[in-house]
Amino acid sequence: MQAVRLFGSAILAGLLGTAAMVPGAWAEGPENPTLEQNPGDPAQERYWVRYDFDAGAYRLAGDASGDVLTGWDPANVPAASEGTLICFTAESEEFDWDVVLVNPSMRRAAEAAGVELLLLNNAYPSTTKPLENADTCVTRGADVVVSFNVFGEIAPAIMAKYNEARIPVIAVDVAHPGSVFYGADNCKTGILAGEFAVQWAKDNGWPLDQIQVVTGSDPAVGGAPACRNTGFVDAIKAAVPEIPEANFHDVDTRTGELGAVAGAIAAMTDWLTAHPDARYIVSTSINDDRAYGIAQAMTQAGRGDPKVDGIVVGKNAETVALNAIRAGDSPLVGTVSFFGNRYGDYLVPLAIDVLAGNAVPSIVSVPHEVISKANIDTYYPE
Amino acid sequence: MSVASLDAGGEGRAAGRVPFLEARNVTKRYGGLFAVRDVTLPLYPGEVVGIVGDNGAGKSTFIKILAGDHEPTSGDLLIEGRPVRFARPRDAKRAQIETIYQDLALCENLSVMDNVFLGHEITSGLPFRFLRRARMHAETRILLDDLGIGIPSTHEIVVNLSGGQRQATALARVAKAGAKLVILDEPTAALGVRETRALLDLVLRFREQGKAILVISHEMRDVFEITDRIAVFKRGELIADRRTKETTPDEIVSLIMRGRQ
Amino acid sequence: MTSIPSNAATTTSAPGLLRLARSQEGVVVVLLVALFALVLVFTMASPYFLDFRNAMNIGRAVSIIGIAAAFTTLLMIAGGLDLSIGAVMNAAGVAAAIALQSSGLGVPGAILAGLSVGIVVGFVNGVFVAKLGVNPLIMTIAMQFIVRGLTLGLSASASKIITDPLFLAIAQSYFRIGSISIPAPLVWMLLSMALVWGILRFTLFGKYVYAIGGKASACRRAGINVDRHTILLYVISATGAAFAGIVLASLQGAGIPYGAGNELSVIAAVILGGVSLSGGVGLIEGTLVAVLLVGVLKNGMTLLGISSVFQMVAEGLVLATAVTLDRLKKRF
Repeated sequence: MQAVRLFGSAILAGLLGTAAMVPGAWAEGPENPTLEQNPGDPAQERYWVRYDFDAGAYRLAGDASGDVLTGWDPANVPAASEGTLICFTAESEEFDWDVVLVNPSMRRAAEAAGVELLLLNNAYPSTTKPLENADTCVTRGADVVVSFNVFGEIAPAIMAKYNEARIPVIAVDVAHPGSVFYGADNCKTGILAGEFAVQWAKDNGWPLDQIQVVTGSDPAVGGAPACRNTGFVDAIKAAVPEIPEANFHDVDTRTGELGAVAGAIAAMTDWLTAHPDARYIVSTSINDDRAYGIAQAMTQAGRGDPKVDGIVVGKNAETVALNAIRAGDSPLVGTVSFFGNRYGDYLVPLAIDVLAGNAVPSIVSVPHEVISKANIDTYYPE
Repeated sequence: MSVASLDAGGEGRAAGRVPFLEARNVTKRYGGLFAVRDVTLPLYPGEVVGIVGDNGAGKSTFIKILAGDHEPTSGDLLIEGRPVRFARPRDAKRAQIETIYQDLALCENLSVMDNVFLGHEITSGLPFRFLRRARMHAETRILLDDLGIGIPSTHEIVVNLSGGQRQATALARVAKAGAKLVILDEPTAALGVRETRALLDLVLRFREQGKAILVISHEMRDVFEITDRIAVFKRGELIADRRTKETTPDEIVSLIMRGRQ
Repeated sequence: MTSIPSNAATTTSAPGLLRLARSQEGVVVVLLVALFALVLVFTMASPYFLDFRNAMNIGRAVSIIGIAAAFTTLLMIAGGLDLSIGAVMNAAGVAAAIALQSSGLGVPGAILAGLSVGIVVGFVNGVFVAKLGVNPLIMTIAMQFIVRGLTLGLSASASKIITDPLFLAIAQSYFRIGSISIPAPLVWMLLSMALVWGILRFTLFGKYVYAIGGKASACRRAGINVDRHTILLYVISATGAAFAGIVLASLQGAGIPYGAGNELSVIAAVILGGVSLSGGVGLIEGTLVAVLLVGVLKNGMTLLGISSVFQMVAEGLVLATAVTLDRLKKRF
């Protein structure tokens, strides 16, 4: 009987404990603007916030001055205190974007700032590793966390752990409820790519109403990057309303079976076979691997002349895209860069600033730029 | 040689004994091939019958019919005078016919006790069926002693036993299953001298207990030592059913090789 | 009484330690020694390792695989193999999430929905393997594709967020004993292991699991309905995976249809724990220690900052070593 009562109260205590942990159960209205924000929505407001270590949450920093869109500068961040530990849960240690660009930039910046960086691997596409890493960050006593987890659906569970431990979080590229956001604006990325594509078509004298728009999507990746494609489509529709609806195509790049590049090649090859007369193709996908695959498919099908057959605009400015742009003979003529190799230069100072109790913007956007043959040497000199 | 002495089985019936199992005019055809042809063979309780014959004589097919693995094309099987039909081996088991083929059908990863009780364990506590291990070990011990089987521990895993001990375990299992007819296919084929001796003693023990026993063997010495009757098969037919005492190894070998004279 | 000559080399003259090493218990002992050695090494190498909270993290991290491994151990001892468990896990989580949203039956309805996925998939696997004689490797891989496709299709490839606090409590709550908090998933794993242990140790069904794994034909001869037991075992394996999937969905706060399948980790743990691929041999204690061993290894390497690339290689080496030692053991 005693055991049953003990057991029952254990469960009850556990449930009550959980109720307190589920975000949103607090009464936090506009006090904490980071709880519900959609960085991809152009109408989304940004606020100055500061982390309240007693409450374990961000609060509106009413006393801050300056334009929240442009007023924060990493150069103004004070020096970090001795022994600061930043826990960085990296997206992966496998993909070019992370291994070549983001992760090294984080390490460099941490070393330059004199802080300790604990880098854990979220092992994309695992949906359980990010949760385990959150536990590790807490156990290791991190002062601040930079969370590069791209699965929005598990973000609340992750934030619950950090909130309980009262550790401030900066989320990268995919918003987490209750954290400051830093990252690419997926919709803006798509829009920039779409505008570039329209400009190319005009510069090369393409008959605009015959343009075929092909977006390479990946149902298995989750909803967050989808705006990279829909933004592309929306920008093109806005600039060239005369393109018929039937000219818009969405192709599943079949990443799950073959991997990003091979899957995209296979998928695009099949599409080209099914549309033997299609020309003036403008295409994009959610990142450079898949964009490169699409470009390969077009080249292999003998329809890869960027002046007359079609072009592909990539995302992320990964090595494979930069090489193709430099070579100049591939349909992959542009990629939207958000300078992954500079992420650390912003994220580490942002983290230090948050720890210092200073006001920071609730959303910090990365610079976006379409890299093409015209400007590649400026931004990415060899 | 009188005709009557070729049908020792029939003599038994004439004397009023009821066979436990009788195959009557059993035939098994595969297309144009007769694997077993018109075989009549009664098996009496407390009697050991040896089946001998060359390869392909139909011995294996015949015992498979008795064990329920095959159904006869024609003919009857009778248990204590009543006709029966074995659609599958389970039916033969239910009729208390147990067969031990050369693979012994033992689970080598389990103990002696586990194998002896396989399929009819003592359990309690429906619906969970908890095993009553202590009791099963005790009963196995009693059974082994009763049969004169020298296995030191009922907990021993079968993989650690010798060939003879495994045979004995298989026989103990059929005894536990309450077999009234035990069919053995070449039981001494893989055994050494001492183990063969032990096995033959065990068979005789079964005979003492009133079981009917059918043994396929090509070892004349073993056959003449333990059987009461010898059935000779040739090309699917039962060519002789002789009382062991009334025949000699030479005669049997001659029957096997040259058939009926 | 005739004394039958025994296999003297193995029953009397083999040294006790060698016999122990060769037995099922021997495997568990070796694994425990390896586990303690690892704990020792990591404790010395990292100040963060030997900590109650870290231990609970390890427990939570291995619990999903541990739950699935416990139930599929039963199937694998009997000689079966189930590669559909990863897909079933995701499907069950998605089913539970959808049921929470739309069935109006609350958490019990969600749990029922999730477990039903396991029961149905397991039943189909079992029938094809037992009655139609399809190779279990092929059958369960085929089921994996089918289940994964159906899950993606029926969920429109979108994760289903879960906000019901009672459901979230399944994996996100703690059992408090005095001042100690034990994460719920760890408790579910230990209960699963204990249940399987009880079945194998005490029940008739448990004996038949070993018997069928040892020699199914002997069981048939003994009148045991091997087909019925096979089907039941596949149902148990898939339902165990479904239970793990429900805990996973609760842990993630969402039913995610496209999570990476972890059936290979589950099966590797079971084999590392001493279950032979051909069946008939193995202890659930081995599975438990193996699961903990891999969890400690991963956690220790992470705390030491060892790159995850090396971690993958290390895990593979551990499994290869275990299986090789198992083969070598049989030669002596």
